[in-house]
Amino acid sequence: MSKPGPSAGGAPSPILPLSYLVTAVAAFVLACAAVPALAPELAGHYYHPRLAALTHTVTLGWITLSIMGASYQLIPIVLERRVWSERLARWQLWILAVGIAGMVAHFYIGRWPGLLLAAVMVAAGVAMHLVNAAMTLRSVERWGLTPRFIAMAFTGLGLTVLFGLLLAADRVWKFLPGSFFPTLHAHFHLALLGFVAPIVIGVAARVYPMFMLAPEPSGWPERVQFWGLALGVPGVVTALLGVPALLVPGAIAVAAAAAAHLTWVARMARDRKRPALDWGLRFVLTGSAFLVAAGTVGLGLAFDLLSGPRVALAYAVLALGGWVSLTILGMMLKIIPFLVWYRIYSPQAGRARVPTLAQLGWPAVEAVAYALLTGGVAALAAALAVGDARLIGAAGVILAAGALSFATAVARVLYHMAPSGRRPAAAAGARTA
Amino acid sequence: MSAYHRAPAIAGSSDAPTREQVLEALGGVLDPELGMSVVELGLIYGIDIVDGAVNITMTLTAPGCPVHDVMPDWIRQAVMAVPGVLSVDVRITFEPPWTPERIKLSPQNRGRIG
Repeated sequence: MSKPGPSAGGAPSPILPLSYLVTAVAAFVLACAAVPALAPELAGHYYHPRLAALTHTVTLGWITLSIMGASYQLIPIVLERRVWSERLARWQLWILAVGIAGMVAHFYIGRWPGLLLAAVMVAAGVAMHLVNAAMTLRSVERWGLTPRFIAMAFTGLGLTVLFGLLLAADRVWKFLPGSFFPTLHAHFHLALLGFVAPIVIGVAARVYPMFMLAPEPSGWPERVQFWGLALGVPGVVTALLGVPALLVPGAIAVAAAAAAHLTWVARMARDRKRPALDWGLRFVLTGSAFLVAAGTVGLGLAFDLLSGPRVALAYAVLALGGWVSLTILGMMLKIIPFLVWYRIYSPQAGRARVPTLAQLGWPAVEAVAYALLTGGVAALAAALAVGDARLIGAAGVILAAGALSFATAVARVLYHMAPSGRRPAAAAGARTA
Repeated sequence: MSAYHRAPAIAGSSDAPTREQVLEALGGVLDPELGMSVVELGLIYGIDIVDGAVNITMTLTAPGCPVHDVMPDWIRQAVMAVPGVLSVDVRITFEPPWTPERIKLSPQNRGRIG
């Protein structure tokens, strides 16, 4: 791309996180567009090669690349440490993009040796991220809540990838003892609870107060979130791998962490000094509401009150599509405008009138995306629980339209990076100095 | 700490900058995310003016605020535009830490920070 622009607070050039985030949005659109096409498969059992392709488009292409891109922007700002190697981070994206595309393609066509090769590429890309994160985190002097959650998350990411590699290798050489599904379930829960949950909670602790103008959270919810995940995730994963007695205590510990997180978010929303919520914050808060539904269904599965592949799929959609994805979508509506503003308009601030972040976006399209995506996720979870292919297809169409709306809103922000898309300094509404 | 300088004005002239003029200039420096000025956000802790040299002590909404590196430059640019200002020093402090209670929540502001 073009020459490196200014960076924010020790963060790398905005182009680095933007490259990850734009790639992730492309994966999100692809995944949502695939839902109507895969409706017949989604109405059946979740272990289907094409559904594995869809799942990994979401978990690796959308969620993991979003988290990695955001972490390259947020970790230096939140922890006040520069990224150890930007060059490594740039190479990492290419390796991951090729590896993820390879995994999705080989899952789709059901070719396991190719899948294993692609999974090794993904593992290499993740290893690069973990090295970069470890070298950045090692100079942190005060291990507050956020660094602890980030360290926990990246440990979870490493273990998730290790389990994934074992599963891919087992497809070729059949060496795992016992049933295949316990390892698969452990892989999924390591990803959701061991990697994604701690990173969302850790980053939320620092950025939600900034965005909502709320007091920084503290007190018992902080400890319950950390220890609930630190003790609950090993319990759940060990239970799934063959010590079933640990399932209920592990699930209760994780549920306590989720409840503490919701308490925390509710307190920040209640005590915020920013009365009106923009669409980014609405996505984030609605995502938190989906955590209630996902946690309830998850507990139902852990206590054997609910069972079966349809409920399991609905649970996955409520957790990954509801809580995680809506939270990420909201954060993107905050991070991407900031990165673009910083690169294009920050150098003019203090010298001329420049737009505010809110003026870079397209609120009407963001509102459409919000309505379609929140409604689409809820509809898809319900349709999966019922197991009706036509309803799943209809929910998928809503999701696909929502994803396209979201991508349009992001494209509008990115258009400011083109000379023709910039607001003339004198015409911009707000004065930044 | 770096500072911007310009040629000195005649001592005691009517060009000597006032605190009100500096505050007015700072009122134009907006937080890009919130759309509120650094004055309205309560980020300005102190302004000292001695013979055209302006010393500003301020904070940010959080130690990890993404505009940490560039906000002082915006402040300098804005205050240097005040007639009679010869130099501007900006000191960032987090003691005491900023809290949302420092926002001046006039009805007009409530609408703007949405």
